[in-house]
Amino acid sequence: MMSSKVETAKNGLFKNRSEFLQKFLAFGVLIFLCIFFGVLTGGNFLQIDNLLTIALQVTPYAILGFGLTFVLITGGTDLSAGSVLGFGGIVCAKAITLGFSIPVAILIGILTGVLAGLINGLFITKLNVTPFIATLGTQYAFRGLTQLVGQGKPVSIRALGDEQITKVFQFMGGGTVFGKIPFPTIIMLITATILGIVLSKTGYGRRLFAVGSNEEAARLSGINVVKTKLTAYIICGATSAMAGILLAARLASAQSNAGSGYELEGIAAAVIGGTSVIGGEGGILGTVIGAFVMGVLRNGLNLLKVDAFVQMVIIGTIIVLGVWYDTSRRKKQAESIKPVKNCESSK
Amino acid sequence: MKKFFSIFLTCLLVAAMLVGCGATGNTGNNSSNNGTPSSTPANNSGNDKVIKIALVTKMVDSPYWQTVKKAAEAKAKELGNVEITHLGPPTEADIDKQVQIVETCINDDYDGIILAACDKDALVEPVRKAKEAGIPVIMIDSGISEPIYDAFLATNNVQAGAECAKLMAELIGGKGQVAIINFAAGTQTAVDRETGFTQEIKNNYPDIEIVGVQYCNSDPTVAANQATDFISAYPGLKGIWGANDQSAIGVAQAVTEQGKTESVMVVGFDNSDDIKAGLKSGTIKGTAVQMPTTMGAQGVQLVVDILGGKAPASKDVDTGVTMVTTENMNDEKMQAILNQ
Repeated sequence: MMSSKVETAKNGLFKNRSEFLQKFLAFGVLIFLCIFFGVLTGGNFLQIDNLLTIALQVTPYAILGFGLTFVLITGGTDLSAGSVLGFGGIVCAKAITLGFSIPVAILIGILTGVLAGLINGLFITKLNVTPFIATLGTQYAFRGLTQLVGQGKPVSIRALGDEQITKVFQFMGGGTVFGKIPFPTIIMLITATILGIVLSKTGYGRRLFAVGSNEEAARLSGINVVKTKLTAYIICGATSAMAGILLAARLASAQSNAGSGYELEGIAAAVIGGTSVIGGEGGILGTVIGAFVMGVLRNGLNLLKVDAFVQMVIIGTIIVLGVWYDTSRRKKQAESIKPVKNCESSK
Repeated sequence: MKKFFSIFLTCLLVAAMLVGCGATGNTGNNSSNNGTPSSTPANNSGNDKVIKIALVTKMVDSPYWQTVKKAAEAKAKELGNVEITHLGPPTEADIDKQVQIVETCINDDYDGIILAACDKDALVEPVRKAKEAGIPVIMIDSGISEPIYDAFLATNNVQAGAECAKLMAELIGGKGQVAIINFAAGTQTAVDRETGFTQEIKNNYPDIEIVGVQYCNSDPTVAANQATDFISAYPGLKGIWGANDQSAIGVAQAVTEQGKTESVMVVGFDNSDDIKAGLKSGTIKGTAVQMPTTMGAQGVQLVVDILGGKAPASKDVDTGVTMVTTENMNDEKMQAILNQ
């Protein structure tokens, strides 16, 4: 039974009918929302400019969500993702102000994220701290480091006074190519493609699902659980930093509070897109869809001139509904494979 | 400036009176604060004992607090017989350290304390102790939850919001739609600024419509997204007010990305590097700058006044904001304010 569960985890795209349903549902919801807002705003919502605006708006959340998808699939979580976003962004900006070239600064920023992810991963795999607690702690620690780098203030590229650097950096965060397509959105789609392939087509992806479905079984079948998990946290750190660099680039200024609370946006995007918070299930395409569902909701409600507080209620409710659907589906699934469940709970 | 002068003059008068009539400082103004530690009257001629004032800020080496310190020192020099010692914890979060610093100040016989509280509750007890020891305490920037201090010098955010509204009205010619990106829902400072802005528009500019308020949690990216959506939802939008530094930066970014720098007026708040860059490039048309220099200088003056037996006219003193705009930003005075 156990091995059959590991078996089902092999196909990362659509593992089974219910996951297909969830993906389909998320996509259906997205289409429905687009039509719904399109009609209510008299077509304003569906204008190409507005749709591209949404694409730019969801980009950082989606990129953050990719790394979180990896971590969630292992059955873990990363509450520090938002802080790592801020940390990576501010280190990159600081590097530029210190005179490093933009590509080198970006590399430094991403390495900062990798290092942060490694620290998270080591706490979780080597010291056996629960992911929730470990990353709650590092959430504070990385935010503190971010504030230290910025001395509590934003690191402004504009203040350097070098027009050229500001222009190039800002292009990365908000520039457009091929007409009006936002550059960061293209980066997001490339990242999604690469990580999607890693997840669904590589041995690492299969091991990740195996570890998330049943860690013990994965260990017994010879998978290096520690290495698999560690890599997931490192990927999460790297994507978080990437999102942070893009945010800093858009404003040509890295804020020391950038990304506060974004980890929850990323988790919401992943979950709405069909990634399970209990692990073992998920996909990058779903996270892209999930991020767009959130972005479309925000933008559509804004265009409909819905009060800011009412919007919070609506968005919150939709997240809960998404998770509720996910858990109830999981429960049904678990009931249909009782022996595995018993086995899991007895360990 | 007028207020500042009148206080200064009154102080001079009181001092002259004290010198004239010996120690009878009983003008009608006397407050509950009668615990002047020694017989040191405030004497601007500078022959008496030096007045030692502790300036305790939330941090020491941030530019903002350095500005306060410089202003306080300049004032001390002007008065002649005042000595300022600048103290503070390493970061704003070191509340315990700030408590210890204030307690040490009491033992170190400072004549007065100027304090920006790291925490509104934790600093109540130290302030009470100082008051019991007869040391006047002037709060600046950030107050404490019980009004046991002698005076509180800070920006009146309602008034500051109203100033922003006036500038916005001027920029858009007194009519049209404007939107607000506030930085937090339910934080007192944010509520005050928003109230000031909306009241001013409502009372004095009937042709201006505030189409909505969004809260960006001091996240410029969120502010940019919200501002973009406002621009999409209201094609005729004339202006957007960002109620703090990060909100304004986000709004300016959105307006730039949408190519609306000339049709959508952006008014901001505070004077960070990014705001200054926005003013320079014209994406931000004006910003409300708070006056830490006034806090520093007036704080010193008030301590000296109190030691001289003159209580502040009012416990809550508005240090005001100055509206720096693309038009006036190159004036020498405005440059000084912008770079304070």
